[in-house]
Amino acid sequence: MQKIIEIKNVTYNYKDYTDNGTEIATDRGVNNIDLDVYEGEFLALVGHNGSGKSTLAKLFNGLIKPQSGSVRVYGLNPEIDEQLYKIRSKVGMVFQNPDNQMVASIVEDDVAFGPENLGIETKELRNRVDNALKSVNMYEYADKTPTRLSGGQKQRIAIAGALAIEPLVLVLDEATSMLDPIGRSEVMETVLKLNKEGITVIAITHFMDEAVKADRVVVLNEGKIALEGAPKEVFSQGRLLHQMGLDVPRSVSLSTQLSERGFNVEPFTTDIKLLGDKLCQLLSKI
Amino acid sequence: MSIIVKDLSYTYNPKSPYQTQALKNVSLTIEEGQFVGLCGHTGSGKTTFVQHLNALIITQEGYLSVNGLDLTVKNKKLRREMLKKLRGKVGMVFQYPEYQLFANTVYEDIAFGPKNMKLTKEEIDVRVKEAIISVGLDFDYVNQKSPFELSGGEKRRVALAGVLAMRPSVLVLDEPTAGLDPRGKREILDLIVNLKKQSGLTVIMISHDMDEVYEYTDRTIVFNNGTVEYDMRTYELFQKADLTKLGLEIPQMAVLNNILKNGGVFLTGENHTVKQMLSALVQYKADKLRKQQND
Repeated sequence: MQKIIEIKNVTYNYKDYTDNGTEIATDRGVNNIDLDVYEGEFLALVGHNGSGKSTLAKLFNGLIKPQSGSVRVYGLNPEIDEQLYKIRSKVGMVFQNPDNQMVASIVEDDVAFGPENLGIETKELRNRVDNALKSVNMYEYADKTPTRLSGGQKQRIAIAGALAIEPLVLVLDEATSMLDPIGRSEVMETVLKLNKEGITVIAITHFMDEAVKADRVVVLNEGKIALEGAPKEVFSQGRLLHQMGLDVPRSVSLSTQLSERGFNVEPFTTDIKLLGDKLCQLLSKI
Repeated sequence: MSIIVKDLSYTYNPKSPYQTQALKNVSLTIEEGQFVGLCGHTGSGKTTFVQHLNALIITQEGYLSVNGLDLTVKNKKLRREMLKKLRGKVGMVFQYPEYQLFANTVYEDIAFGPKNMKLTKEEIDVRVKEAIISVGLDFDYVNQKSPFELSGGEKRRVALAGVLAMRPSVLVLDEPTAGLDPRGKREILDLIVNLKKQSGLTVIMISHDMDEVYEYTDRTIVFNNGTVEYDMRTYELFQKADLTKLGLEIPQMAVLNNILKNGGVFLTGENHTVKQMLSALVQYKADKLRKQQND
């Protein structure tokens, strides 16, 4: 698979200020990170609050620039202005709070905001907005006002807004954390569908059951990458994840511990129903 | 003392094109010391309901009393007296409460409520200290800090401390764990359980996370279209009711428990957590093996 984002030895730290305004360096942010993102993958970024996930996300589309090290997105350098704009049109972002991302009073105007700013012609603009709304299943809401939509619907509009710039990569920074279960599954289904259609997805999440659905999981801890691999590999490190303030999905945790205690079950079972059926089989045989 | 609700109804924007009925004839009683989960999808009426409990919303129809105070009283003078007594009793922790922090120091922020209750300086000091300690923060470390220097989880604790400093007897939490990482979630919930144990607090928690509701609450009330669809002991609810049609997930341990029961595996206890389920399964297997040997 082709590398599309290369992050090499990148450090980005936030600054603190004393009462008289002098800067103090901190180690909050990310420190000497190396990470490659591959075309078409679904990458989940997990880590405790303050582990550096969002900082990393902002590096993907040049919202912040590395203080040291280098970032390349499709070979483009975000530190050069002309290239930065090209990066922005390739990497779309969706943030946590649906209410903070609406800029217009009509859904279709909101979706059109991005491409309009890129100077896209009216006819093409119409096409892009329609297509983007169709792909998140919100086409019939084109002339509605965003304020009267549910959280899940608003987030899908925000995704449509990102899609209208026809990005190759979609970065979701805790895009489901303020939604109810219906909204969450609406957004997750939309994202999985887009990923199947070829868009690379980078999802930052606190929901381990979302991370389990990814192709690859990267765990950040104190600004560094602590673990990386397929969900199965990462979530088999229950104790380590616990130490880093994270959790393992309940079904995975139970199946792993049962297998350690001599139960003949698959240690990494993500589906609780499968685990239940297996246990019934096992225990009725005794 | 308890919360008594009878035929409570509420309509937003009455007599306008945007008229929507948020609550329809809600009746229930919440006893002191219960840990109640409030569930239901967005727009089901749960937030409107809890906003009634400390008179943030003025009752339109029906009866509501909290700890013996009648919240529906209309007489202006009596109403003012009622509100005065009520405010400190029902503590409300809203969604993302850290966005409501405003003071220069953690101390001032937490002292804001008690100050408005016109308590003495000494009493305020006692309460602020007590509140900071009860949310598991180090008083000397945080009290003179700006709340904005703290981490997300710490900020949320400060916000919670601000409410606890009023010494409420009912604590209402609107999605207290939203946006926190798994450890932060566990810490906040364990903290609430401890507070409840120590002070006999009644806790009402709105949550979308059914696993969380299943692990921590005694009783669950499910709202749907402004009415109470289910109101049962948490364990019973997730064993019996069909909640998926209301857009609610079934907790993982409840799903497993049901499959096991249908498959003839009857474990000891209710086993709401992974830990409990694990030891019940280990126990079940050992018992069965022992029995086999004896036969």
